[in-house]
Amino acid sequence: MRRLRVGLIGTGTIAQSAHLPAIRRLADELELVAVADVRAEVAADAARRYGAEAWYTDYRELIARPDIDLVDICTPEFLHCEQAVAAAEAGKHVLCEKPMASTLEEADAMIAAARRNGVKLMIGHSRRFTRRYREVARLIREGAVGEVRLVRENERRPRAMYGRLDLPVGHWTPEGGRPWLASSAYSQGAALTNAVHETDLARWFTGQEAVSIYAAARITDPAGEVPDFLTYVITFAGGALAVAEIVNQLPADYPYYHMLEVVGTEGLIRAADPPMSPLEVWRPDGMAYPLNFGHLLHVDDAYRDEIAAFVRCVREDRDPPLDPWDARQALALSIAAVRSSQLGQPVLLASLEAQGEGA
Amino acid sequence: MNGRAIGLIGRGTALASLARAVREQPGLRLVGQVEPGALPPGADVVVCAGLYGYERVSVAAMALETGCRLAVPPLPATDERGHEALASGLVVQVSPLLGYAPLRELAERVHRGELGRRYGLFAAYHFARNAPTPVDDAFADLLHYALEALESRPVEVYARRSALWTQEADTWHAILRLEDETLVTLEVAAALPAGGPEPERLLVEATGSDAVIRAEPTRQAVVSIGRGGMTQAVPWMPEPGEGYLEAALARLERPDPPQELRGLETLRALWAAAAEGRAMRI
Repeated sequence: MRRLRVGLIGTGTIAQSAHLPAIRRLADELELVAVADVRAEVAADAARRYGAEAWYTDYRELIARPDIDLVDICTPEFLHCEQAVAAAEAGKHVLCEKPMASTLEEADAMIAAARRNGVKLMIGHSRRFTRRYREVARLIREGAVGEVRLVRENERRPRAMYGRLDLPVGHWTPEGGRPWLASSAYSQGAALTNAVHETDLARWFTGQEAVSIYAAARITDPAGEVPDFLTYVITFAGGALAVAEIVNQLPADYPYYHMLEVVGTEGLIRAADPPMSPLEVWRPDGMAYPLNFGHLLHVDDAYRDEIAAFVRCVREDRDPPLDPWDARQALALSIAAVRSSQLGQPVLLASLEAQGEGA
Repeated sequence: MNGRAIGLIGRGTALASLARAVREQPGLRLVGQVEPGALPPGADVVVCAGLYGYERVSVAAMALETGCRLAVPPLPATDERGHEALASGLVVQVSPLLGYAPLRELAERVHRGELGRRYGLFAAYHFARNAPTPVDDAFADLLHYALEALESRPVEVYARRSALWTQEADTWHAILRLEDETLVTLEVAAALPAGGPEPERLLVEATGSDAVIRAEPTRQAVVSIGRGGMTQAVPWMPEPGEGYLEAALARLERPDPPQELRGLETLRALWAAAAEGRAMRI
């Protein structure tokens, strides 16, 4: 069986920490042909490390190659639509990092482009492929807790979290600026950066569409321009609620973790990362958790399973395991969270759609 | 007999624990314990425990009428009687959650500034679906604890009061923005399955630039998994009456009516937010 040939756009932190290692592990099925990044030295280094035959600073050159079957987009979300649509128009299947896009119009354009060109589109909501969440979904599906009425996941991240992974590259930083994730020119903050995981989990586990969301946000990083702290309550059409508190600037040595609780009519499920992680180091100046991040997020094969699932759907001409519509709806909730936190009032999802994102 | 004369009003295990704490503390003298509806005679101060919300309001009103100094669990309602009682300085509110040593410790560490720049406080208080605790009372207890721990004035609040598992309201969710920008997220829910191994579960997590302080007092347990299912016990934790009594007496020494009334105003705004489905400025 011929290996599918993949081109990867954006060789920054998520590519280097997750996608490129996963593609390497899937070498029997995938061949990394080319990479692209606006930073020439970063693209060249990634190509060398992961064995791509070519690297580019302009993604359009990568997409123009006729020998690429599949494009893996790992750039910031404000670039997703342009790059995904271009890839689809070139007949490439598209796997794209979350969040799907910066706006719902962009998300809809991506879906339309994939349909128009008969290619597969999947958004990489990695938690859909993480074992513990799949197990939670299985339990819910089998009726272990009855009808889900409350979903809560709190997420805690230490500041400079990716610094622990000793990656060869950091977040893309415009010249003279701050990293794009902290810049209001490029990012809308925690609601899209990581809370889109929680908004997706909430829809997945309740099996319902959201009616409204109230969110409060703040900037805790003195150098940041966008909210890095978010707390919200979502009300679903069936009456279920989902809540989350996302905190992204905790002390540098603090462990990365999640606390999930799903309460149904017949019981409850908890899936909390052990707060102290699998390896603790006690030092005179405090505690450290050196394996925490890598262990929790990446070594559990989520990204390998995500990419493998997409490869299967391409090979077998099946629908992707995560419909782009689900990613679009998770994005809608995250955008609604941004709007709510700006307005200081709940936002109806219907009004968001009616007003072209509820400005 | 010398010693400060303490009278108690209440019922159940909370009252029993409080009575033991009074008896065991030097300098205190238990002069009587009664059910709601009467005041124990001869008391210098009266402390209440194990009362339903409507009883909290009525004993507060009774204290106001008789000039009695009284510590009561937080009032879950915002009627005029409660307002007058708190404004008088005769009545002070004390969250029963201060009975938990880890929660007192968390509050003290927050007061000492260990968080650095404060980000937020998340608190979840779950109890069994068939527990006698009304969710409104438990919400008042948690709210009062959180505001006391953070010592900053709420300026904007949002709340949902929902019936998720029964026909009656069994859940509160609230988000409060404080004057210093701290965001508070509170969840109170009669969510635990009836007859399950956990009668209640409490998690409070305060986050900041320099520290995360997390207290889970109900997890400090001996867990037994056997033929009869899972059970847990917390045999070595301090009795809740000790810490609650200490907090009540301290509050009675230094009543702060403006602070008490701010708490009531916050509660009123939260009820309005829940009723109207929108955030309220305070």
